[in-house]
Amino acid sequence: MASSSHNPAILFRRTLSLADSSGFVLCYDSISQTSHAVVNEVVHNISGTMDSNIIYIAFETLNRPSFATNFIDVNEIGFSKAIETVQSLLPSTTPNVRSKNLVVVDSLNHIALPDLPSFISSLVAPHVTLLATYHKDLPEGSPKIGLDNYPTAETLLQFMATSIFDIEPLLPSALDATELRESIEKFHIPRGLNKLQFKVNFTNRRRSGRSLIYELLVDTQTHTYEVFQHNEDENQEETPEMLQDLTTFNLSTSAKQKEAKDQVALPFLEAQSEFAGGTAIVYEYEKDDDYDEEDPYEDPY
Amino acid sequence: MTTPQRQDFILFSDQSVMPSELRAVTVEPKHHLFLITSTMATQPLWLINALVETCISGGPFSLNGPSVSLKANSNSLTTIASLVHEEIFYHNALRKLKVNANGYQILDVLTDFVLKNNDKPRDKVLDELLERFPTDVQSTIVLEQPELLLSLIRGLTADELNKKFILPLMKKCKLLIVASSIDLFQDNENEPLDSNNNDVQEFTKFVTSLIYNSIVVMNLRSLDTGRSKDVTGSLMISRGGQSTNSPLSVHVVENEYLYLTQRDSTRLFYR
Repeated sequence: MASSSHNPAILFRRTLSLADSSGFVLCYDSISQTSHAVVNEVVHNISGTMDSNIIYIAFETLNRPSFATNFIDVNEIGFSKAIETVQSLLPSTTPNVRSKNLVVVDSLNHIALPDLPSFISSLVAPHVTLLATYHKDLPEGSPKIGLDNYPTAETLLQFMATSIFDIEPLLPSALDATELRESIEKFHIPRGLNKLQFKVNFTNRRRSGRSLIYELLVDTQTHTYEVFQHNEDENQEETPEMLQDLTTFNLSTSAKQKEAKDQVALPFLEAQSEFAGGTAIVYEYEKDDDYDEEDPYEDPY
Repeated sequence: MTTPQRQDFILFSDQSVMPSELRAVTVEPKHHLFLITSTMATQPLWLINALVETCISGGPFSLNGPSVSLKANSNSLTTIASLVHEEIFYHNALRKLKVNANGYQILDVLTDFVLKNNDKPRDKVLDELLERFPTDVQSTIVLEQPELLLSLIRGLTADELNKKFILPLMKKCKLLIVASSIDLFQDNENEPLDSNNNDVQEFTKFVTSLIYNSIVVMNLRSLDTGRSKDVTGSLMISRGGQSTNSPLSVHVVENEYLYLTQRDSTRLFYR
């Protein structure tokens, strides 16, 4: 776990508002929770703070989002033309510190695997942030690159991304994770998915290469982010009320009993004290031992 | 036996099947997708008919009963294209519902499809198919079982079908309603599915893309407990991938109905 000195929610907010220079933000989504809410959240966070230039590269979206400064429909103009257009729209040399350039891509699944690295590297620049969606659940076709061990698109993107939002739905109350996966595999979409509150597994990669992973609960209605709490019931402290009225036996412990219980030195603690001065394995030769002069663990050279 | 109370079919938070925004004329054209997924045992015809009826007459009267408050929608045309049913089939069905015949047209995509297109390149087949649909950004297009094109056109991939047919078709209209059968490649215990199989992958990819593009998904399926005399199946309404991105001010009301089809009429009720 990361050091306690920083707050994941603040780091997440900084990433969403593009305050840290993060070149390539990757959103993993699935049909159970699509990435539109996260994209809208990024737009919400950057709007108002500074003037921003948002270019939307659409492979599958037909309706121009209201926040997009420029909307590029790839199916209409073709892939190579689209890259040229984007590059012409981005400021090339002197990066203006006051303005943010955001390129939104929906989605990377539509780019052939061999073109993927060059597509990303052609767009990422110090003053440009690429926010791209990748659908986890679309089967990837066999790579036609001619190399057996060439990484899959997912691995490649994970390697290139500076921040990753792995978006998951909050499980509907009636289902557990396995049931949800099974019903989605059958294309039975249960109720309670694609909500405005969801979970994000947020991977933040530092300049050093170290990556930190946090689980966050995101509410896009109130724009609040908090650390995701796992099964709150399990970690609950035992209280005397919990044990009352279960049986006629007295199961609860009084404060005095608890104190006495804490005072008891358990046997293993006793055993530990013998080695108080540190431990070492000392070999003592016995008369039946077959003593070998050579040390089997000695370095042969 | 008591008959359960009939429920009204609604999809959106303004208690409508088709919100007025979807029918209003807008300056900048918007394109939306509704997806119906069904199985062999639960055919979606009644639901398609109800949606067509809503587009033309203003409400799903065949399901909800007559209502005076809903206005007919006369300024847009509805086009129905099916890969499983012929023209006369829909004419008969819609005539029974007393839907104004001037409000819709039916394209026969099915007849002699393979004979006509056998030796043509894939792009040309899709282009020709696309040309048969009228371009009217206020209109509605209903498309039944487009996934069959994956098998009917040699070598067609889900990506091509999506990019060269479904998306351009969406651009031709305001609302595209796609009805897909999803039990084509279903995993069952006796016959485990080979998920590396190309056909399975393409099919999965196609249906998944449709779900990503849709605002609402209507899933028809039979009961998990098997067949029953008084229930034909269940209709589950859930949000699609575009629901969090929709420009509409109303939202999808997720719901699960049971339905019973008897002769020509279908009734919705709650469990």
